[in-house]
Amino acid sequence: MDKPIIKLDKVSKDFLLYKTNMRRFAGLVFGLGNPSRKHALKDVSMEVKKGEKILVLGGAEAGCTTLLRVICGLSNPTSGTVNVNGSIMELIAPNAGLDVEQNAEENIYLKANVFGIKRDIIKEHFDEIVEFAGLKKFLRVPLKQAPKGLANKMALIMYFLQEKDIMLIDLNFSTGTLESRDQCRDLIKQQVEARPDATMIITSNQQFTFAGSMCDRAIVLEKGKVVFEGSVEESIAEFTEKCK
Amino acid sequence: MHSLLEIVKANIKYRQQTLELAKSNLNKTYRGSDLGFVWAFAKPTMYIFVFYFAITIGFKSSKDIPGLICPYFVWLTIGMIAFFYMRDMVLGGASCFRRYKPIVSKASYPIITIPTSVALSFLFVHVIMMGIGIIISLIFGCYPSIYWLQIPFYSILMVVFSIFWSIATGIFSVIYRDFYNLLQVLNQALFWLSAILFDVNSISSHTAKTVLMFNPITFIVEGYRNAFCRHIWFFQEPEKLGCYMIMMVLMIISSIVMYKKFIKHIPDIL
Repeated sequence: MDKPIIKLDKVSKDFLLYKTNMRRFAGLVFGLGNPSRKHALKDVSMEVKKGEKILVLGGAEAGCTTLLRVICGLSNPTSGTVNVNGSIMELIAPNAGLDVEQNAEENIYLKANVFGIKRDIIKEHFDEIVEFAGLKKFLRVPLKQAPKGLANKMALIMYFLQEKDIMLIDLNFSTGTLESRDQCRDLIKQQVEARPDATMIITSNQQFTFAGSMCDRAIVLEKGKVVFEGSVEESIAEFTEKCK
Repeated sequence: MHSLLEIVKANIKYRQQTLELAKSNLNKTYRGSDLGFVWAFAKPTMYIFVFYFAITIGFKSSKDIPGLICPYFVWLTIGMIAFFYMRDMVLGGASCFRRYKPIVSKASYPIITIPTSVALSFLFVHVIMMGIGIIISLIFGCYPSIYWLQIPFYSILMVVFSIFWSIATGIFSVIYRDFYNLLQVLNQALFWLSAILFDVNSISSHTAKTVLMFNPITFIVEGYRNAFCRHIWFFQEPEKLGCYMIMMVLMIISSIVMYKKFIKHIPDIL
C-alpha cells in the first residue's frame, strides 16, 4: 500500500491567549500562569495519498486555515503528529512579504523571494505576471496605489511558477472584480489539470463549489473537529446544511 | 549542537533568499525619501564631525592617545564607523522578526535566516563607511599596512556576533515586547559605555577596564583602531580576544536556547 504523502494523527492546535506581555513571558519561559486557550484544531486525523485533491470546508473559526498552517509547518501542533513526505507550496496569505511602499516590479521580486523562486524564472515570466495581474500601470509606483486584488492576482500567478509535490491553497482572498475572479479560477483550474500527480488541499468558505470541482473528496471542519468526510457533493451538502 | 547546525545549514541552504531579503531591507529603510541611501552615510558622518568638533574644539581634550600613529580624528572616525554597525545591529537585530512580521507569520519562509539578512544589509552600509574611513585615513597620512589585513577578521567576528545577537534578542523581543523598549533606552548609554570617545587603555580603574573588556562593542572598536591607528595584531592582546570569545560563546548558547525553545511559537505570537 502506498505510503500517504500527508498523514495527520490526532493533531490538535491550541493558541494560547495571554492578557499581558508579562504573562506571556512568564508562561512561555517559566510555564507559569493559566492562559485561556483557543482550540483551533481538535484531534484531527487524516491521510492524503499522492495525487489526491482534497477540499476542506468550514465556516469562520472552523480551523481550515490552521489546518493548512499546521501541514506546511507554519504553526506547530500542540499535540499529535504531522508527517509530510514531499515538498510543499503554500498560498495561505497572498500578500505576505509584500511592501506596499515599493513599486509593483520590486514587489514581484520580493514575492518571488518569499516563494523561493529564482530571479531568472521571474525574468522569463515577468510580462506574463504583469499582464495577468494587471499591474502595467503600477510598475513604477508604490503598490499601495494599486487595488488590493491585483497584488493577490500577482501572488497567485507567481505561486504556480513553483513545481512542488503538494499544493496548499487558501482561496479566501479577494481578487477584485468578478472578471478577475473568473480569470483566477481559470488559472487555478488550468494549473491543477496540468499537475495530475500533484497533491492538493484547498479550502474556501465561499468558492467551495468551484474548489470542489477539482477535488476527489472533501472534509468538513467545525470548531476544529472533522465532522464529516466523504465525496465532494456530500460534503458540500453537509456544509451548506450546517450553515443554515 | 544540533540546533546550531540547523541554524548554519538553513543559512547556507537559503543564502540566495537571505541576500535578496538583505537588499530589500535596504530598499525598505530608505524608500520614500528623496535622498534615499545617502541618509545611511549622512547620519553617521554628521555624528563623527559633531563629536570631533565638540571634543577637540569645544572640550579641547583630544590629548595624545598613547601608541597612536595617526591623528586623533582618524582614531575617532575608525572607531565610530565600527560602533555604528554594532549600534544598528543592537536594535535592528532585536526587531528583525517583528519587522518582517508578514513573512514570519504568514509565509513558509526560513525565518532563521532573517537575522542574517538584517546583518548583511547593515554590513553593506558599513563597507561603504569603511571606504570613507580609508579615504579619511589616507588624507591624514595613514597609509595601508599589513595590519589592515585584520579588518576582515574583525568584521567577520562582528557580523557573526551580530547574527547570534539578533537570533537571541529577536526571538526574545517577540515574546516580551518590553525587552525591545529596554534596549532602546540602553542603546543611548552604549555609546558612552563602549570607549568610543576615550581610550580604554588609559582607564586607571581595573574594574572598569575589566567590564569594558567584556563589552563586545569595545573589542571590535579597539580592534579596528589597533589595525589602523596602533598597528597591533589581534594575537598581541590575547586577554581581550579571550573576553570577546567568552561573550561570543555565551551569545551563541543564548541564541541556541532561544531558538530551540521558542522559534516554533514566533509565527503564532506575531
